[in-house]
Parts: sequence; structure tokens; C-alpha cells
Amino acid sequence: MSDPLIPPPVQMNQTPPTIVRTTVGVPRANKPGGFWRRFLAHFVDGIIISIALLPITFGARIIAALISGHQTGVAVGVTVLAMLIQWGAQAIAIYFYYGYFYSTKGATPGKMLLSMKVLSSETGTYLTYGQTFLREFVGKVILGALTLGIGYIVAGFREDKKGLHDIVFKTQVIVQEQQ
Amino acid sequence: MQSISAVSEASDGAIYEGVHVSLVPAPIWKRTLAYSVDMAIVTCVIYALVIVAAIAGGLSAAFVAALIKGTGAGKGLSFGIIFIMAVFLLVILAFYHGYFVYYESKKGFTPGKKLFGLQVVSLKGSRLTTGQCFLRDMMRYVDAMMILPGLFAMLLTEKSQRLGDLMAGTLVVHSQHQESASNFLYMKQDDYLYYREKWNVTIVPLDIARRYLEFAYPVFCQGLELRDYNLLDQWQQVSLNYVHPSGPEPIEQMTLLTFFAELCFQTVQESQRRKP
Repeated sequence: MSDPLIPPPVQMNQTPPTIVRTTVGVPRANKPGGFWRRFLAHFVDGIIISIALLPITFGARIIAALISGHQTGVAVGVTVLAMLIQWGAQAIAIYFYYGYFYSTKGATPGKMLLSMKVLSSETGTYLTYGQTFLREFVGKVILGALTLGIGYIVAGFREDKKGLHDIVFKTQVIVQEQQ
Repeated sequence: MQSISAVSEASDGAIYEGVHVSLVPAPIWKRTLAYSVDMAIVTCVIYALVIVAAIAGGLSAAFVAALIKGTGAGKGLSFGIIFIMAVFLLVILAFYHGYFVYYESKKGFTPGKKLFGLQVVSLKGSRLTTGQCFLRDMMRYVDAMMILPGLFAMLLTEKSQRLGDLMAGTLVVHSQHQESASNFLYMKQDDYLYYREKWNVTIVPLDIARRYLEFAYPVFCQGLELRDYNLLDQWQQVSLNYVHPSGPEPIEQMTLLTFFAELCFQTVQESQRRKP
């Protein structure tokens, strides 16, 4: 196959269009999303996810309390198990919630409200489910905990407003102009 | 010449005087999501109110206690706290209902509904009145009662109406055009659809779309400085393989290149969406 960058010969029956170079129509640049804006969006998303997970978190704790009764040894084991179930549920919820919204709309509801989008800074497209899980769970939950939240704060001081999870997994948050 | 379907067209609606109108009843899961987004916003504001009320309530209670020294102090203090709590509850309720009534009567959609392309319309063929919005908002209490009669009403009625909708004579519709409006990165949806109709467009191969996006994303989306201006001309030549403008009027290079960027973006998104 020939190199796509080399144009095919111009067909003679078709007049080539006239193309003028002007500065008109230059798209305005989208700014990177700032720290507080993203913080607010994260807050809204957190509320939505916590509402969705309420039955599981609540149910796991109640069942744990019912099973363990007054026995201390059992109580510790069952509580740890309940916490593991909660974390698992959280990971699954993050995978599907963020994955669905980032891959189809480029933004979660919280980000959409504040007209932001998350894009891959390498390819300029929406993230896939896998990339989303890496960014949201490995990058935010695990790396964020390991760095004691400094990974988030980094975003406030950089010019391109990238947090640690953005730098490691090569993503970029932009603020879209109102349409 | 094959035509492409990069975006799902607004096939669910009709265009009246340039405004997309849809009369497709909204799916229940979208309404649920929209409601939970709205509730998340309301909750955020209520959190802020709680903090303000706690500080203001504490200060004013201390003030009241300081004013009524002696025997009546305890009674006055508890009365003050109950009064503040009552006012606070009223403010929360007023905000919760005011939010829905205000947005639905003014725009037809709340911020949450807007994200999912939903809109409340009146079945009477006229504009939504504030009374209708108030009625369907108040019926939320009935709809959300123990066995969720609203859910059953939505499942059973033809137009997927909950009890509040039936009472107020309203309907929640879903418009694909409105929902996909935020999915356009380089141009507005209407501009994109206009150019796509005006210029003959053929399918862009995925590898070329991806290669162009790698060039176009930093320049057109992030606004980073372009080093080599010859690249613009080079990509213009490439874009003319897939976009065939006809007609005598000249075309601006930037318009062509941003349109091609949007076309590539939509092509790539469509291919990713088809993947499971």
C-alpha cells in the first residue's frame, strides 16, 4: 500500500477547491482543568458512587455485625472481610462508572457539569476502559494513598495541571468552551 | 461514494425552524442517572449549608444564652436551637424543590437532565407552566413511596410517565442530538453536521485518523505552538482525499483542517464505541 501522506493524482474532471490561508476559524485553545474545578467534580462523582454503593457498604457492615455477635475473634475476621468486600465493590464500581463515562462521553457527570473532558495526551482520544481503570484506581486510589495525596496537589502547581495519575498514565484534563 | 455515519444522526427527532425536537420517551435508566446527578448537586449545596448553619446556629445559640441569663437560659437556648433547626429544614426543602421547579420551568431540563439529553415537555402542546412543574415535583414524594409506584407507572404507561407526569400532563423526552452535543471537541455539532452535509465526505481509514489526531490534538485542542507550518499544507492535501468540497467559493484552510480533525475524532470514537 502506498504512503497515505502522498496525495493521489488530481482527477481532471473535478476542479480542485480553492483553499485560502487565513487566521479566521482558528479554534480557540482549551485550557487545562484546574485543581479546584476538578476537586468539585470529584466531589459530585464521589456522592453519586457512594449513593450507588450504599446498599453494599451498609449491608456488609450489618451482616458482619450480625454474624460476629459478641465474639471478638470472629468480629475482627468478619469486619476485615466486610472491608475487603467494600473495596472490591468500590473497584468494580470505579471500573464501570468511570469506564463507561470516560470511554463514551469523555467525562463523568461531575466533570460534564463543569464542562471538562479527560483525553489521552498521546492520541487525543477518549480513554478506554483499561486506561480509565489504570488512571482512576491504580493512579488515584493506590498512588494517591502511597504519596499521601501529594499526587493530587501536584496538579495545582504545574502549568499543564497534570496530577501524578495524569503524568504516569499520560492523560490530560481540559476545560471545554461552553457550547 | 460511500457516506459515513460518524455520529448517530438525530434520527429520533425532527427539525422545526432549526431546533431539534424529539418526542421519544426517555429510557428509565437515563432518568435515574439524571436524577442522581441532580441529587448529587443538591447534596453538595446542602453540605455547604450544613457547615454554614452549624457555625451560625452555634454562634446564635451562644448569643441567645448570653442574653437570657439565669433561670430561663436553658429553655431559651433549646428554643433557639429548635427554631434554627426548623428554619434550616425549611431552607433545605425550599432549595430541593426550588432547584427542580426553577430549572424545569425555565429551561425544561435540570443540569442532570441536560447531561443525558432529557427534556420535560408538556403534553398539552403548549409551554410547560410553573404549575405543572410544581405539581410533578411534589408528586416525587408519592412516586418514591415504599414500593416505588413511580417505577411501575413508568414501566406500564406507553409514554413511560411516572405518576407526577400523569398528574401534570407532562412527558420526559430524550434527544440524541442534544445528548451528543458535548461529544464534539474541535467544532460545534451543528457546524460539523453542516459541513459534513455540504462537503462530500468518504470514510477515513482508522490509521490515518489516528495519525492526524496525534498532530491535530496538541495544535487545535490544546493550542500548543506549531513548529513546522508546512505540516498544515501537507495535512491539507491528505484531508482532500477524504473531504471533497465542491463549488466555486474558497475554503479557509483552518476550517477544513478543524473539520477534518473532528471527522477523524468522531471516526476513532465510533470505532472504539463498537468494541465491547
